[in-house]
Amino acid sequence: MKLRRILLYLKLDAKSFMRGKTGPFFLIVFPIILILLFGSIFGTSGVASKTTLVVQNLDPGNDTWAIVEGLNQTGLFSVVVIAPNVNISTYIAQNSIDSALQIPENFSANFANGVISLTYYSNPSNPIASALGQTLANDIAQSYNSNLAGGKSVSLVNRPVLAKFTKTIDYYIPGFIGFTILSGVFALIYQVPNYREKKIFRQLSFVGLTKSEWLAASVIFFTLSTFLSDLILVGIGYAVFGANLSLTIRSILLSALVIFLGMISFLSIGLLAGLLTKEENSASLIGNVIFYPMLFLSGVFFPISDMPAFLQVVSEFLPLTYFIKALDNLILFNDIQVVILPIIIMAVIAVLLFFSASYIATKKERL
Amino acid sequence: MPDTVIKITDLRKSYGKFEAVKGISFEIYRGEIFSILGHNGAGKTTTLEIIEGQRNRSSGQVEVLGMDPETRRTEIFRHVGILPQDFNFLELINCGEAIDFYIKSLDARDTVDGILERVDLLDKKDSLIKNLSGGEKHKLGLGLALVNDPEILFLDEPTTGLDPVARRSVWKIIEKLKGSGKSIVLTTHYLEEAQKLADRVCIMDRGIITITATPDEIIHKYGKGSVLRLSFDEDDMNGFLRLGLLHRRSGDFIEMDISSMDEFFSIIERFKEARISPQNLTLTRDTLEDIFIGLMGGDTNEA
Ligand SMILES: Nc1ncnc2c1ncn2[C@@H]1O[C@H](COP(=O)(O)OP(=O)(O)O)[C@@H](O)[C@H]1O
Ligand SMILES: [Mg+2]
Repeated sequence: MKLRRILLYLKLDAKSFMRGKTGPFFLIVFPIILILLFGSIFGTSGVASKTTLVVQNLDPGNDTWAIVEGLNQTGLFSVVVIAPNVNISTYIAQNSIDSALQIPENFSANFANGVISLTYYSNPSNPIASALGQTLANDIAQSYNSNLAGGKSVSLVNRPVLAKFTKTIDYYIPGFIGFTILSGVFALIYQVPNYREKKIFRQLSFVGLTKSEWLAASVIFFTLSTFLSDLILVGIGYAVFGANLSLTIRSILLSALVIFLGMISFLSIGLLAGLLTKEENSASLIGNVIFYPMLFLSGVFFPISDMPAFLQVVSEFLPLTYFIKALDNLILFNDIQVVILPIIIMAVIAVLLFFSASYIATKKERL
Repeated sequence: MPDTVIKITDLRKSYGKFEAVKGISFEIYRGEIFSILGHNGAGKTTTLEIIEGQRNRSSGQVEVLGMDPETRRTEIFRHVGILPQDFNFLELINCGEAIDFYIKSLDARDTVDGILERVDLLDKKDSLIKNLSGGEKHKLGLGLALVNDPEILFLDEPTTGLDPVARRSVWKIIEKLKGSGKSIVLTTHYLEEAQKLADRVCIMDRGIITITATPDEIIHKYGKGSVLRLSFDEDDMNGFLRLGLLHRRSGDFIEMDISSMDEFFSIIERFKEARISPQNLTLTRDTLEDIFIGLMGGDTNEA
């Protein structure tokens, strides 16, 4: 691989991309549409508001208050504690509350007997609230079990899955970033059959440009353009919907690394997919067949834990899964520790995919 | 001894069961224009791609500048220029940018304007490739092939699909390259093109090379030569007959076989001396076309 040739082609490719009609659309207009659309559907317009969670503790004690404190600490809810003498059903009805958690009188006693009982009230017409209750109950039970036994205070685990059910725009942003990456891949799935049919790869090979150099140039181009898209996306998230991400220099740099690694993997897959056909028409079909399932199975918009077991296994093998996991933890929770493994896995997948895709593409072009 | 730049010996290529090239041999010398002439499907592109190192052969020997293109493809690419059949490049790039990319990638010494001038495309420097006419596109492809100042230039049907004006303008560029020391391998199915441009021609038909020679040699050997056709008024006709020249009648016309231009001029001289003036004089010369059609048994399968 020769860097100079990569950069020369990069310049040519970027010009050609920006002069096309679809390129700039996917780069700039599409992310704006995406966030405006989702923002108005799922985000609360104007001000970001966390889901209000009403908590009534009927069994006051150190342990049970630790649960309430733990809920608060997650930062996922606005916890409103109501007094034990308030009728919770009436309160919910009067204040149009969608979710409320009641710690029953006999909670501690039950727990001593190995039973955890919590009451969760949710508005049945709000599926988000009911799903939230399920997850919440599981989380509390889990953390209570593991932590209390060690004599420590109760705390809740930050779970991205849980986060998906809150109503702020923040939690959709990693998914949107996944989306912007895939739009680069779609561009490639169209480009590859086109270049093969018109024998442009061959023409490029006359100046010594190899497939891996071509792929590297595409990776650089789409990484940079995706950064740009994502800046716009996050900017609008902040300006219009009051997004509140936990961005630090470190989380931004690591997110950039994640996007770069993701780009290598997805564009390699895009190249391989593009090799399956020489016609642009079938290319879009192949793109849809590969990428939409990936999008939905990677936890972008639906939590993986809610999927049937075999789909959960499938999702473990999708690069997008690690990508979203890593971004979730980075820009939502600023949790560096958790992302180390997904980043390593992504790096390995990226390297493998990059070289096998270049190799197969070279083989396929050889007459 | 001419300097050989390409040597092909018993080259064969099969696509599955179909043998597209059936054991051909020829040599190409430094500085000459060598044309492979044949109908569509004759195996011209296949042969060229094998020589260029783009395609693997089934059997036989190929040597390009002393190298085997199958194993030393990258090195050969540095010394040759290729204008493929159906040349294409990034559509939304302009001519200047495309040539600039080639020059920089190949570390070539030429300038963008220099190349554009050589292929008569300076006024299209800022035109996007998608807006070029067929002829302009071929010229750009030719320009790109010239960037690395190649020793051998491969032109695969450089004028196919062009209108006569565009064709002539591509010919002019190729003619200018003649004598630059470059060897040019040119495939075509236009006989006129081979006759006009090539130093030597081989005729390829269904994977076989039938003849390799200069256009003149081919015409001389396989052609019927030239025919002088004329008529006289009655007085002059008697004068003509008194000259006792070998001729045949064809309706009102007299026809004479001419083997050289000298013979033609000496006949005209004798007419002058005898004070007779021929009418409706035409001199038809056999072209490669006639021979080609003769050799192919009139087969004009334009697939
Ligand atoms: N990739 C291929 N696979 C199978 N057959 C081919 C392939 N390329 C060419 N052919 C066949 O080989 C023959 C020679 O083709 P080609 O070399 O392109 O001829 P030409 O350039 O003289 O028109 C044709 O019959 C063509 O159909
Ligand atoms: Mg051909």
